[in-house]
Amino acid sequence: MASQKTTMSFKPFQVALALGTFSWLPNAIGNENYSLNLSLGEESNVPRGLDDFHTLGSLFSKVELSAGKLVQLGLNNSVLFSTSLGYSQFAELRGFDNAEIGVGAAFRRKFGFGANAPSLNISTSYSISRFEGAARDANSGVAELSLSRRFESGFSVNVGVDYQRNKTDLLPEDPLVTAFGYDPVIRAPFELFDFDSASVFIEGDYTFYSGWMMSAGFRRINGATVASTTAPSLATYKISDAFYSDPAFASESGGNPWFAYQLATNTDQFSTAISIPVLKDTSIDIGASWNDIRAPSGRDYDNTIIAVSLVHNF
Amino acid sequence: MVKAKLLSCMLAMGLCLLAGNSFGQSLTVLLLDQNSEPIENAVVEVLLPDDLKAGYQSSGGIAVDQVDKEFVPRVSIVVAGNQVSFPNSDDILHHVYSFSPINTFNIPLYGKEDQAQFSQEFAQSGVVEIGCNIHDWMLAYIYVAETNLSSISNSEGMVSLSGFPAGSFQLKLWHPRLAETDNSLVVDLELIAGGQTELEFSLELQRERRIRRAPSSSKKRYR
Repeated sequence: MASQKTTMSFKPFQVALALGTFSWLPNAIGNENYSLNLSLGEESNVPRGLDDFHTLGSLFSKVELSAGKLVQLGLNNSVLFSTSLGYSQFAELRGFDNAEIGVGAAFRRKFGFGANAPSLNISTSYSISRFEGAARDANSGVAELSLSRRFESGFSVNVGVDYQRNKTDLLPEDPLVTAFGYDPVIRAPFELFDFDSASVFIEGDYTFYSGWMMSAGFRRINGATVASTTAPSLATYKISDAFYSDPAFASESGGNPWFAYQLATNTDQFSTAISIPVLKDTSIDIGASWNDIRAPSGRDYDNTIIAVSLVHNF
Repeated sequence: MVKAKLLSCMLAMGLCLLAGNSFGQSLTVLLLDQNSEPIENAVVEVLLPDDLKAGYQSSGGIAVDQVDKEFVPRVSIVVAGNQVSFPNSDDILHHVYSFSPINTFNIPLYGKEDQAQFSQEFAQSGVVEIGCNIHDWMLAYIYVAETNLSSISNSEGMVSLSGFPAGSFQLKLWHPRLAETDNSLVVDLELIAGGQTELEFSLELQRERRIRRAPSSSKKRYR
């Protein structure tokens, strides 16, 4: 699919917030850390298509830079302030390319000293993602509460809950949607990424004698999914919480236009990874996640993401 | 499991003109693991009876530095009653602690500029394990010896000691991964006046599972 003119952009205050945090971090009192994450992978169902025709996979690459500042508040409490910049590019589906900036703060209460002391973690973050088309843009706030405990030097567990609020800017009237002629009374909102979600999760990792670390996790998400189709129906429209032309396929010439729609979903996410240390502060990770997405009317979506990542802490 | 082989004794006996010189003994110990690889960072200590200890207390304080988010050295020896300082050569802050029963302490977050004031007296013999409360992978051992007749094996697994009296003593071997109770082994030792004693030990080491320092990909929220 041909690429299209890039329209992803951030407002000046959004960039200023991220860069301001980035520049402030090294001057705060505490420990700094900088991290680079380069990923290559494949996603099996980027547009969350329901049938084979709409299930489109793509190779992707992603680069993410993050910076953090740990501030110690007494003996057992600390706060990690962080900011991140990321860019993802999809080889076959360039309309899904996106950039993301984010800031966050994570409070940690350690119940005792040492590596095995359990800890309570409360974090909040705010990120802005921009696609090639405003309909997929989102401003996302996440609050998370978790408990973590290392049971021995090679085994740790993290359990928690989180809440995510996605907000998107108001979108102009979509003539393609209006052209359906559906009853205005049931007209769905345009804002695809305007939804809340909550999840519970458990994660664990085990480090072998070799230093290789295997991790696994499960997350149940009660929230929403934005799927895409070229064959919208009244049935789909009626169960959608938002409906709009999908800008990710705006460059498609010929054929039917793509529409994106938001559905309330429950997602079970299983993930696993093996992390191989290659240098003191560098690892190569090979990970996979399987997402079973259940929507109303028995609509089940699947998506599998496999990625190889190079992670380096500066 | 443990093979102590006396390779040669009394090589220098005939050369020692001062026969009966009670302080001319030297001891060389070679430590190998179950794969015949040299064991580095093992401690070898000659255990003296109480009435002789007083003459072997002279020593000084030592420093365990923090460099590139690691303790340096990883294993060190201090004679009981002396101070260990914990300078911080990193540009970041560290928080040193010990849970070890013989010396429990905690030095809250401090940086390069604050290092001078952070030292700790180690009064009781034994092994103290120290860590950093910020960087979980940081780990070091301080072996608190009864006397100064102790040393740490080098990369070739060799330890050399000298200047102790002749007589029947005990030799203590310690390594953080030694597969023995308290990671230590005590064997009888006979030191003959004016002699040079060479010992070789084949020891079983446990595999090491350390907390990982290398990062891993963070889990990202799916939408």
